[in-house]
Order: sequence, then C-alpha cells, then structure tokens
Amino acid sequence: MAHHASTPPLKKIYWKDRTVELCDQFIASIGGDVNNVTYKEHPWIGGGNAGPSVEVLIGGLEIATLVFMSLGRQKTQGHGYEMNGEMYYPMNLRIVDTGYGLERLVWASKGSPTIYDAVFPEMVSRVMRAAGLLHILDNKDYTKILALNAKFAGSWTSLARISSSCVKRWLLRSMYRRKNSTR
Amino acid sequence: MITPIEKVYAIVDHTRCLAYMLGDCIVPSNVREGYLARLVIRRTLRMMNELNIQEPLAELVEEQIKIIGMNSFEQDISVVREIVDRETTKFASTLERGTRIVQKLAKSYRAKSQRIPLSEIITLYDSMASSRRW
Repeated sequence: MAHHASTPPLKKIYWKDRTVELCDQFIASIGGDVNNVTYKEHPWIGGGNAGPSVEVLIGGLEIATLVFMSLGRQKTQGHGYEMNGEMYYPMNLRIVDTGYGLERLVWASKGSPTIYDAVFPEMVSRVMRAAGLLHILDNKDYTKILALNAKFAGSWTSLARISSSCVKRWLLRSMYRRKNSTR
Repeated sequence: MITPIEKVYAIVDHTRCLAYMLGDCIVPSNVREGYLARLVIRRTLRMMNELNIQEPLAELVEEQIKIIGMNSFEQDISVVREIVDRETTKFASTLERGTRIVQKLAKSYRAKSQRIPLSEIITLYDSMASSRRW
C-alpha cells in the first residue's frame, strides 16, 4: 500500500509534514493509538538520489516507510550536501514515495509472535500438525522464544481495539490446536 | 530447536506464493517465470521431506487457494493440482537419478583410490543443478 506525489517546480502538492499527517490520520482511522507511534527520521541515499526518510513504528514494529526524494547528483544552483563522500544537490522535482506494510498492520493488530501466525494461522496450524511438531509447544524454552519474539514485535497493545495479552492469547490458541490434534 | 518451526513458516509462505503463481497461470518450466515456479516447488518439497510431511504439496496449495478465494484466480484448481503432482513426481525421479549418478561416480573413483576431480563436480552441478541444495 502506498501514496505518492511528484511535485514539479513552482507547484505545491505536499511534502513531509502533510505526509506524516496523512500517515497519522490513516493509523487513527484503523484504530491505532497515535500516541504509541514513533516517527524516526534519517537521511537515505540510493541510485543517485537522496533525501530525508521517516520510519513509522508502532510499539517497535515498523509498519511503514515515508521516503522523500529531493536531492540528486546533478549539480544545481541550490545548496549542496555531502553524503557518504559525494555531493548531492536539490532537484527541481520533489517526490514523495511511501510504503505501508499491509500484512504488518495485520500483525500489529493481532499481536502474534510472528507475521505468519497473524496472516495465515490456519495453514501454520495445519503444517505444524502434518510435521508432528505440535508437541514442541510443551517445551518451555520454545514458548519463551516465541514470547520474546512477540515482545520484540512489541505491538499488541498499540492498536486501540486490542487489549488482551498477546502471548497468553497465542498460547491459549496453541493449546486449542493441540487439543484438536489429539482428537 | 527453532529450525523446524522456521521450515513450517517457510512452507506456509511458499505454498501461498505457489497459490498465486500457479493460480495466475504460470506453468513450471526451465525458463523465465516458469523456472521460478519450479524452484519454489522444489524448495518447498525439500523442506517438506526434511520435516517428513506426508501430505501432498498439491493439497496445501489447494488449501491456500481456498483461503485466498477461488474466484481470485484464472487457473482451474484441477489444473493446479495436476501441475503440482506432476512436478512432485518429476522432482522425485530427478533426485533419484542424481543420487544414482553421484553413487556411481563415487564408486568408480574409490576403486581407483582417487578423489573426485573438480571438473566432475562442475559437470554434476551444471547437469543436476535443479536438484541441488539451496
């Protein structure tokens, strides 16, 4: 999922502030807690262009990247910036290039240990059973790893509609799966 | 300890990828996108073998197609099943043939008390590349 804007000289479409505003509004519109969102700005360079970019994280899980292309290698009249030992100059065209992880939003809303458990839980269950691996859920070390993984994904309290503890819920679901498998 | 679970996740991911590839009418072959489909099928089969999963790959791909929604795809589900089953058989015979060739080679060089030369390994890699380990 994405939104883009190419701004030619002398025309104003939108740039950083508006892009972040749109992102904030989008997160709020799907039930996200905007106070739990971190915007992390840093420069980017690639393919002869450069500019600012903003990582968007909910509870530590990156859900989108907002990229702004405003500099190029070609010398122009504007103020140049040295990046990685090379000079970059303002371009006439300014481009907004965003990318939102559709499945990452699903992951954030479900708060499961991995994105796989969030996006295709039925298939994970089916293949786990087919591989005879359900017993692994009895292993405390394993459940600890999954719990830590969920913590590092860190997002389950971030969306306003989600209140229960991810790990507890996931383990309950795992137990339910195991119960089914012994039928 | 976590490795088998990583394989489970990879199988789940690859079967969904195959649902989209085959559902969108890609036919496995030795060129272009067909080759990519063949690689994904073989990688999935290899991981399924490692986990000793008996369920046919075609069943898993069909399940993925059903989860996504049958109406989302142009290819007929029975054709997808046939393609996956045929690729599964073909891969098994390629592996068998490859194993026989390697055994024969090893035997003949052992009889001569020699190491297998690099050139033979390169020929093997070139001719049996589709069954190699990734």
